[in-house]
Amino acid sequence: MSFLFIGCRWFTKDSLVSFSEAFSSKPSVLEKSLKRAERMKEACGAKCVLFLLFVQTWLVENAGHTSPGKPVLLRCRSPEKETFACWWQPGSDGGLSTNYSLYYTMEGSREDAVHECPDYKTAGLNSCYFNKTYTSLWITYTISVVAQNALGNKSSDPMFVDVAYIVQPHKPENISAELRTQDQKPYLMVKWDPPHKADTKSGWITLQYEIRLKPEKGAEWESHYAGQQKQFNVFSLHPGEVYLVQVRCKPDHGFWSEWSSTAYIEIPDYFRPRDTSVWILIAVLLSVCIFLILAWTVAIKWNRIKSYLLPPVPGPKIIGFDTQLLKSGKSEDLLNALGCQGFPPTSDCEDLMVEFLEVDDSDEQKLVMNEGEDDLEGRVKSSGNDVDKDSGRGSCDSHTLLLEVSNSSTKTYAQVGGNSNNKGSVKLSRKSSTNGKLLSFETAGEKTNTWPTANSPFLLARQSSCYNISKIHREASSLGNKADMHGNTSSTQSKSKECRELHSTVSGDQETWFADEKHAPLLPFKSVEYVEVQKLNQQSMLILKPKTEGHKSVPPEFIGQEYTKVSGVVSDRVLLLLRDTGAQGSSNTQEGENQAVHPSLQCQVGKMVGTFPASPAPEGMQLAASGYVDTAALLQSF
Amino acid sequence: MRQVSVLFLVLVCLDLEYRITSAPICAHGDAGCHLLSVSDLFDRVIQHSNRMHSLSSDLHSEFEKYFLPVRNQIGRATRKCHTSRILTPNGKENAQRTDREELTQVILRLLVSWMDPLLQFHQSVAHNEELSNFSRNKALELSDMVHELKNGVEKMAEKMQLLGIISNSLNGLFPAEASLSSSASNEARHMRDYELLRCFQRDSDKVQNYLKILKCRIVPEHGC
Repeated sequence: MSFLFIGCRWFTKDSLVSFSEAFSSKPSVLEKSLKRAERMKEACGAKCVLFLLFVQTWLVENAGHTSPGKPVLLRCRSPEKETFACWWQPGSDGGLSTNYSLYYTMEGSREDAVHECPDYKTAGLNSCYFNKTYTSLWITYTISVVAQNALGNKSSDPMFVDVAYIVQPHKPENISAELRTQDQKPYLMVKWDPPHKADTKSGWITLQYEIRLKPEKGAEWESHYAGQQKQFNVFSLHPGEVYLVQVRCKPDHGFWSEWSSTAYIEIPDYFRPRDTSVWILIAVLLSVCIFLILAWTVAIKWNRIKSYLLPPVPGPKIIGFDTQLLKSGKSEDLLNALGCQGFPPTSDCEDLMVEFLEVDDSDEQKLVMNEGEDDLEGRVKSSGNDVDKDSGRGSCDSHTLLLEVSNSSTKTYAQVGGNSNNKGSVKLSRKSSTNGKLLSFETAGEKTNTWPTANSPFLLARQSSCYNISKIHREASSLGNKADMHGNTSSTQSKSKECRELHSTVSGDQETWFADEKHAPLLPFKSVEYVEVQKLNQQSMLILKPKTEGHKSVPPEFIGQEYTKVSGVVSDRVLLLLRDTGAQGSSNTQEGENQAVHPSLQCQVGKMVGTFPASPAPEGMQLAASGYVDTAALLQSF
Repeated sequence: MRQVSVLFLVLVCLDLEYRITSAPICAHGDAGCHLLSVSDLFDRVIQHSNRMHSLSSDLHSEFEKYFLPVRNQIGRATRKCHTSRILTPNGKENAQRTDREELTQVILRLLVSWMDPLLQFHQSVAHNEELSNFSRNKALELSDMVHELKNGVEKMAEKMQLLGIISNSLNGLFPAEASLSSSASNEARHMRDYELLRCFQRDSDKVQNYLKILKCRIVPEHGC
């Protein structure tokens, strides 16, 4: 009908105009058609209008006059497994008033036992409510809805319902969220109650719960399954936010309820600073700083700390040896401090290193001592200056001390025969130089002294001993010869020659001082050799013993010059020295020369023990009044 | 020597057995211990029935998919279950009105009546090649589960009778049930598998429900 109407309307003026424009080529035909259309339009319009009016009224009259549309059963639900309700959706009503009725049949009853819904109201519109009386569990209901109007009725598709399986409880109630702390960590304790209609107490329904929560500004919910318990703890929380919490429930086999009403809870911010990691970090930083400071201070004061913790180990010390006294030069005090009883030191002081020998008589001791003292003082002084401050540095037998002492000693000069006036002892002095020293036999007590020498000093020692002996010889040969014979290291060869001469000259002679051909091979550029003064025996004789073992020790420093009276020479390279000088000694020696054996002279040196033969060359022995033996005279004599 | 060793072995075994059997579950006094064990039994039995029911539900839905593609057919609920003769409380009030002994009895009756049909079902499923292995395995489990559950409920009933929780009027009913169950099982043979499963699903739900009610009535402290 409407098409007709539209069709009538179509031919408007505009369309006609446009149509005419299109066919402007044939105006005559167009004009004709236009005219025709106008006439038609006029006729059509009236008819159309009439026709349309008729149709519309007809339609209106017949609007509700159809059978109703088919209703649709939406669902049936039981909230507590005791009652249930069904809902349907009505179809089109066909323009007429339609009423809906629900019919059901129950399993186990007869087929025609159709019942109608007992309650259409309680559950709302288009619903049917079955109360307890009408609800039977574990029975299949066959439900259908019928829509009915004047023209007909329409029945919906049936629905098979077993109430036990359509349980959908109400939402949980009294939901509450509480903030609690455990070990300084906040957590949320959520509590709720089951829907009041669901009977969980008697065990009729068992419900399972589910929680969901989200921050207020969050997008997604975080769900947690809570089982059958009515509380739940949530741990993963962000402080300083407001949380929304909801709970829902479900029976064993059934449908989930709706989400409960929201509970709001705010997590306060103050939980955050209680994080212990911050404190731990602070503690670590502090400890690091303290450690750095300590390390810095230790590094600066390291030397002091080291000296405090690890003090230097003192060397051996001479008891009573005071370095200060040594410095001051008071030899007497020094020596007294050392514990020696008087000067010269007795045999008790064997351990002490005193570099002087005393072989003269006691009468002349003082003189010698005096003389020696002066020299000694000087020597002591000179030597003392160069001695190391720490007296404990060296011991009597230590090499270092002797070396040092020998090294540091000042130049002493040889006084060959220089003091022949004063003493009756041969003064064998030592000259010290940078390279070597002359060992001087000085008055010494009954003690052993070793004169270890270094290489060239060793050489020198041997040579010096040779030299000394040669000196002695010379002295013996030329009394009054005040030639200052210096031992030079450069003239070692000469010395050696002298030695050789000495040896050669005296080799054959038993009375020679040195008559050891054994020495020859040992001369001079060979191993170390030095003379060891053995004990001074009671007869005031100094017994020397040359050491041929090659000890490498430093020659001791001679502090002062002392003179020794040589009384004789044993064939086995033993030089016998008299302790006492003076007329008595000389007289003794003189006498000794004549005699075969001087009782005072004894050779008690190691292996070289021999009796002292009578000195056969009295003429060679030109003993001065002082008692010196001029070895030179001896030499010359042979 | 041999005799001695044998004797020794026997003694040891006995001793072990004695130890095993006599180990108490709880350390309290007798009364408390017994009640506690009843509660444990209840829990176990309910768990078991829960498993059984879920299994039956799964199987039922699977079988419906295979054998009944169109849902909500009118002729769907035609056959009655063979256990429909057993009077069971079908509502909460009815169940709460039923006393303990009767409720226990109902449970046992239900379970007993399902033992044979499920055995048949087991056999039919074993030969059914249309089912997947998963379904078949589940189906085969069912008969064993019923058996175990029945035994468990029986033990529990005995314990309760021992403790005086329920009276001793139970035993008298059992012989009468045997005849019922045999006729019922004959009926069950004619049912199709999915119908059987539907019936069993319902009955297992009943059993579970009744057990829960019993538990909350007898030992209400734990989770009621």
